[in-house]
Amino acid sequence: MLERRYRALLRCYPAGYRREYGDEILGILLAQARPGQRRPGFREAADIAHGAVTVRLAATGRALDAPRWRDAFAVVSLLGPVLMLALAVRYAVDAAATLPFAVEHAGRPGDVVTWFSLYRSAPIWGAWAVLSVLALCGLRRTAGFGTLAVSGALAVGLLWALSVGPDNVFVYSVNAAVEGVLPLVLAGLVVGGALLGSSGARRGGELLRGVPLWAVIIGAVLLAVVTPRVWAVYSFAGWNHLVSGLFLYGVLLVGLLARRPYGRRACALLLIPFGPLVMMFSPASSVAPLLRAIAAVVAALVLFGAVAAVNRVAERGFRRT
Amino acid sequence: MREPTFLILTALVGGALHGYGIILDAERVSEGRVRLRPGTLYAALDRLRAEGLVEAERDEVVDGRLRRYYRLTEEGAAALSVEAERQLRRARTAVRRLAASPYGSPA
Repeated sequence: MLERRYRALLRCYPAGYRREYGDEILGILLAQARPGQRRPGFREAADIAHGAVTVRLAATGRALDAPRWRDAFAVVSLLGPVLMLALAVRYAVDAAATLPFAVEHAGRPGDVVTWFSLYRSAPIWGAWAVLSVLALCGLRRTAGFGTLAVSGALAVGLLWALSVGPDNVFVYSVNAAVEGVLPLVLAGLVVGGALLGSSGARRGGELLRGVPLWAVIIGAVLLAVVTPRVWAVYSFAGWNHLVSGLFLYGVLLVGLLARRPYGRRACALLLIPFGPLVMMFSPASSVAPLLRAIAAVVAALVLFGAVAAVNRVAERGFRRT
Repeated sequence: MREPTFLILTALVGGALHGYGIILDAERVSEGRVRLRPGTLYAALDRLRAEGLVEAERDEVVDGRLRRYYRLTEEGAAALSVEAERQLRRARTAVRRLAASPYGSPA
């Protein structure tokens, strides 16, 4: 009984690791067990869980250092900044369009519309635009660290705003925060990590030599056009736009990249920022039932795929001959 | 070098040991202060094997389960020697300063 429970506990480890060390660990656990012990103790379970996390992280690190992943990061370090730049341009166009409205209202005493309420996300988009240009010009490390810093600042701002409460100047509601800010935080982490973990946009360009440039530009413009407001740092619903935008974005990404192994990995990385789709389960969401059902299926598939991918990466990273 | 790693490498200086043998030796060397747990031990052993500091010597089957003996490689012995020298120098400095201070020499 105890041995069976220990074996179940050992399933925390990657299969390859279990084959290599499972018998030995089990032997020690049984040798150290108290007489009459029927189930693993808390400390034993915590030790195995800690060991499994350590092993999986190390194996994942080794696997991500493989050429396929490094190439995937290089592709992301090109496409990520292109997409972010397109979205920043979209923001600038929106901002310019609202300028007459702002001029009319913002200076008026007592008006709820202020320069700050209209353009509070401008510094973020400005930073994204500058960092994207730096990345595309080859300043990989500066752009990478800068992108991670902006992401970190956004994450801190998001946590602060959520702790202060829904009615504050940064976000209007938890949903808006998750829709608007969290994808940006994740996008920054993915792009920043890709810039620091690869040879940069130039290598990405070499890898994408077979992919027509016009398709990349059209994809970026498409993403920017069909996802208005959602990508603003603050956000009102816009779910239908989000779903249609993401669908087109996903189809385009897969169509462009899926034929190559590093391309498939780049697709997965570029879809990470849309993990917060799971929040579409929220009953407060105003999305049509069919779209919510589609989103729920997509979210479940993305989550399942992410777990499977992490597991597979860890298994591949564990190499022992 | 972290303490579990130091203790594992030290345990293997005297010859090849299996996992449980390493745990018992580490406990003895640390005067009962450190009791390595199997999850920690094998995560460290796996890393040390990947770094070439430790290698598997032989397998035997006990109670139907595999038991593997590990031994120190030359690189492992060199790494342990460097770390032991470093710790020795630091300890000597501490003892010398304590002896010259109002706190007196350590017990």
